[in-house]
Amino acid sequence: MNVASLPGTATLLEDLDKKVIVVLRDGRTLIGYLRSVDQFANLVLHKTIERIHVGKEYGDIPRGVFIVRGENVALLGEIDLEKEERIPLTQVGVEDILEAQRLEQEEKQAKEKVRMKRLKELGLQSTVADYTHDDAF
Amino acid sequence: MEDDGFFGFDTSLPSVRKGPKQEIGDVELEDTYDALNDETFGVINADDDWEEEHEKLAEYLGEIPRQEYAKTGVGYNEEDFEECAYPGPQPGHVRNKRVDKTDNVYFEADNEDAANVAASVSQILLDDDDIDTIISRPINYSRSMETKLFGQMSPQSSIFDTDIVGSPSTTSIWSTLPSDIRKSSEESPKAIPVIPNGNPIPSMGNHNLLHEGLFKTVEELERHLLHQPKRLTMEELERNLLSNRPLHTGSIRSVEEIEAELTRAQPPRQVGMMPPPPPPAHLQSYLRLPPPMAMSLPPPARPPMPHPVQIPLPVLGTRSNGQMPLPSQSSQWTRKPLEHLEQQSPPFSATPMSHSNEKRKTFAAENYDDYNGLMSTKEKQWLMSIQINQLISDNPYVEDYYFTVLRLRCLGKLHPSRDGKEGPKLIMPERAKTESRTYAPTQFANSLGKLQVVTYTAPRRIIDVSISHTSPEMNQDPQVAVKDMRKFKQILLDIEKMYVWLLDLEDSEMRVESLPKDAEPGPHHLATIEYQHKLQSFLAAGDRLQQVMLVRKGKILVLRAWHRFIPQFQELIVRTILLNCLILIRRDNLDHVLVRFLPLVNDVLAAIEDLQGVVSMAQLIDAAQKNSGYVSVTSTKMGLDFISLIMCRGTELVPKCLDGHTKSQWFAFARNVGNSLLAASTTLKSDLGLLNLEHFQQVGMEESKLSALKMVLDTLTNAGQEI
Repeated sequence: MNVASLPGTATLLEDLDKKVIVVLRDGRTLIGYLRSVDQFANLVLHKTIERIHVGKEYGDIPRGVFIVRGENVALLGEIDLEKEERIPLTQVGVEDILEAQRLEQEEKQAKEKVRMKRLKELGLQSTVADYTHDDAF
Repeated sequence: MEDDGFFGFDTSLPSVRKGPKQEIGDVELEDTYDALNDETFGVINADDDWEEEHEKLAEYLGEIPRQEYAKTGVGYNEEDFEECAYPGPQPGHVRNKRVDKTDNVYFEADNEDAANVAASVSQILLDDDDIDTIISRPINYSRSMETKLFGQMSPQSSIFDTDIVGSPSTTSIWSTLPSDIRKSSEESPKAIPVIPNGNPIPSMGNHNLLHEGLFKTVEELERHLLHQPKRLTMEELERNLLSNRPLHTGSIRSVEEIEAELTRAQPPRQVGMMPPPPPPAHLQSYLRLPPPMAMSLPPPARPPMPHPVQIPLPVLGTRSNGQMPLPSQSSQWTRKPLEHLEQQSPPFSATPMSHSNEKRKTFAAENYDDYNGLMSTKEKQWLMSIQINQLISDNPYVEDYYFTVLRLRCLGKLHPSRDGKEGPKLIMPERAKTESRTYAPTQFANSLGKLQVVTYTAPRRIIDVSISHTSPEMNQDPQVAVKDMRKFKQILLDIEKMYVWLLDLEDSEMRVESLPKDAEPGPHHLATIEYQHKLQSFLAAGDRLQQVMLVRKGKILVLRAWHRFIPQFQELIVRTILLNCLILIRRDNLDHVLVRFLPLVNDVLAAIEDLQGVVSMAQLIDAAQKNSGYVSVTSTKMGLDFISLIMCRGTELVPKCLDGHTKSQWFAFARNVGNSLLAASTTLKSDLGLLNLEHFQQVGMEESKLSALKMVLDTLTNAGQEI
C-alpha cells in the first residue's frame, strides 16, 4: 500500500533521487538531488547549488552535500527538467550575482530607512515585522 | 450394472455394504468388460445405487447441506478429525473403517492396493501441480465442511486469500496424502476419476470434480505444462532491461535500481489503472525481491487509495508483514475503489503521456546516478510506517471530521446506492488495542520557553513547562489560590520582560565600550540610559520588587543589574530585603542566591553616613520580625549575617552620632540582638563571624549577660572560622 496514495497526505519518499528545489525560511534557494529524508523532513541534498536571484539574473553557487533541518524548510518542489532548460532568466557568474545581491540589499535598506523616517515624521510607528531577522517568511 | 456408454467402463460408485470386510477378489462385475478390477479399484457391488454413492461423495465435498447427513447416514466421529489433522499416511485402524448407511464411517477393508493407487495418484497430482494453478482456481467449499474435511488447518497465509488453504485436496498445505482422496477411494473405489488413459470423466450429477479442479487428467497436466508462461531467467531479464535502456557504465546495479527503472519506464497510466504492473510483480516472484518494495516504490501514476472506506486497513497491515501481494490478489481489492477514481480524474490524453514518458526515459538514461537508491527499502518502509501510524485513528469522526465526511460524500455521489440506502459507511478496522503509552517528553532543566520534543507517536509534542508555585498557602480558598497563581505567573512574565531589557542594556553597554573614549554619546549611550530607567521604574512599581525577590530568577536579575542601578535604588532594594528578610530567607532555602546579596548590603550600609540610616535599617528588621510573628531573625543564618553587618556599621557610626534619640534607639536594638543571641545560643550559625563583644559593650547590657554573650560570640566566631 502506498502512503502517497492516501488522499490528504504527502510524503517526501516520492521525491527521492529527484531534482528538487528547496526554499528555506531564511530565503535561500537550494537546488539538488534529494537523497534521504526522515520523519522530521530533514533533507539530504546531493549536488546542491544555491541559486541567487536578482531581477532577471541568477547565479549558482555549488555547495555539494547539504543536510537541511526540516523545520527550516519553507517550500520543496520537484523540478521539471524540461522547463528548467527554458527559464527566461540569464545566468551570470557567482561574483556578479553576489555583487548584485549586495546592491539590492542596500537599496532595500535605504528605502526602508526613508520609509521609517517618513512614518516617524507623521507620528506613526511602524508595526510591520522586522524582516531582517532570520525568518524571511 | 452396465454403464460403459461413454467411458467404456463402469463408472458406478462402489457399494456401501455392511458386514464383515470383503476379501479382495470378491467382485461382482460385469463379465463383458472389466477395466476396473479389484486390484485397482476394489470391490464393486453392482446392486448399489450410484446416485446414492454420488450423494455421499458430494457430502464429502460439502455440496449437500449438513442436515442431509442424517439421510445418507454418513457421520464423522472424533477419529475422523484426528485423521484429518494427521498429515501422513492413514493409520491402519482408520483405513479399516467402512462407510455405513446409518451411522459410522466404514472403509473398505484391506483395500490397501486401492489406497496405494490413490496415494500414487495423489502424488501425481501434487508433484506436477503448479502451486499457482491451484491458487488461481479457488474452490468454494462450504465453511462447515472445511473443518470436517481438513480439521486443523495450517496457519492462514495471507498469500492465499481463498477459502481453503493450499491445495483443496489436502488436509493441510503440508500433507502429501489427501485424506479425502483416501476416504473417497476406500469408500467408493470406482469413483476415482483419474483414468490412466486420459479420457475425460463425464459430470457426475452436479459434482464435476474435474471441472472443480480437484482432479486432473494426465492430458490436462501435460497441456498445462506446455502452456506455462515462460519463466524469465535473470539473464533474460537483464538482457531485456539493457535493450530498453543502454547503460552508460557497466556498473552492476542493485535490484532496487532495476525495479526503479521498471517502474519509471512504465508509461504513466491513467489514474484508475491498477498498480503494480505485472512485470515487476512477475519479476519479484522470480527474483525473490523483498515485497515491501512493491509498496514503497511508487509507480509513476499513483491512483490514490481511499481512506478506509471500502478497504479495511488490516489488509495494509498484513501487507506490511512482508507478504508478497499477488497480482490477482491486488486486483481484487483495488479494482473497486479505482473504478470511481477513473471517473473522478480527468482522462489524460495520450500525447502528453507518451511525451512525458519519453522524457522520463531520457531523464533516466541521461541522469543515471550512482547515488540513486541511497535510502534503503527498509528505511523507506520505516518512514512510511511512521506516516501511516500517524494517520491511523480510532476515531476519525473526532480527529478528522471534515475529511472523513467529505470523503464519504464524494464516494456516495460516485456510487449512488441502488437500493436507496445510505451512502458508503466508514469501516473501522479492528486493530488490536495497543497499549497507548502516554508520551512523556524528556524534561529539560533551566530551559527558557517552550521546547519541542518529537517522536513518531507524538510528532509535535511541546513541552509545556508547568509553573510550580513553591509556597502555596495551606487551606486556601480556591479562588484565592487561582488569583495567586495568576499573580505569580504575571511576575514570571515580568521577570522575563526585564531580562530582555537587561540583555539589551548589556548589549548597548558593550557597544558603548567599543566606541573610542572621546566619542560623543551616540544612540547606544542613550539606549543604555533608557534601559536603566526602564528597569528601575518597572521594578520600583508597587510591590513588584518584593515579588521579584521571591523568585530565584528575579534575584539573579537584580544581582546582574545591580551595578546599573543608582545608589538610591540600591538602597531601596536593601530595604526591601531587610523588611522581608524572613520570607526571603525561607524562600531562599533551595536557591541559595540571597547570600550573594551580603556584599551588596554591606556596600549600601557602608554608604550610609549617619546612624539614623542604620537605625532605620535596623527598624526594618524589627518590623520583619513582627510581621512574621516575632520569629527572631537571629534564628536563621542569613538573618544573623544581616544583623552582623548592621551591627558592625552601627557600632562604627555611634561615636559620630550626636543625636541622643537615635543612639538610644540603636542601643535598644543592640540589646535586643544580644538578648536574642543569648536566648538561642546553641543554634546559632554564622559564616561571617563579625560579631564581637565590642558591639554590645556600650549599649547598656548587664555584665552577666555580657560575659555570657562573650562566650556565645566566641563560639560563633570560631564556628565561622571553622566554616
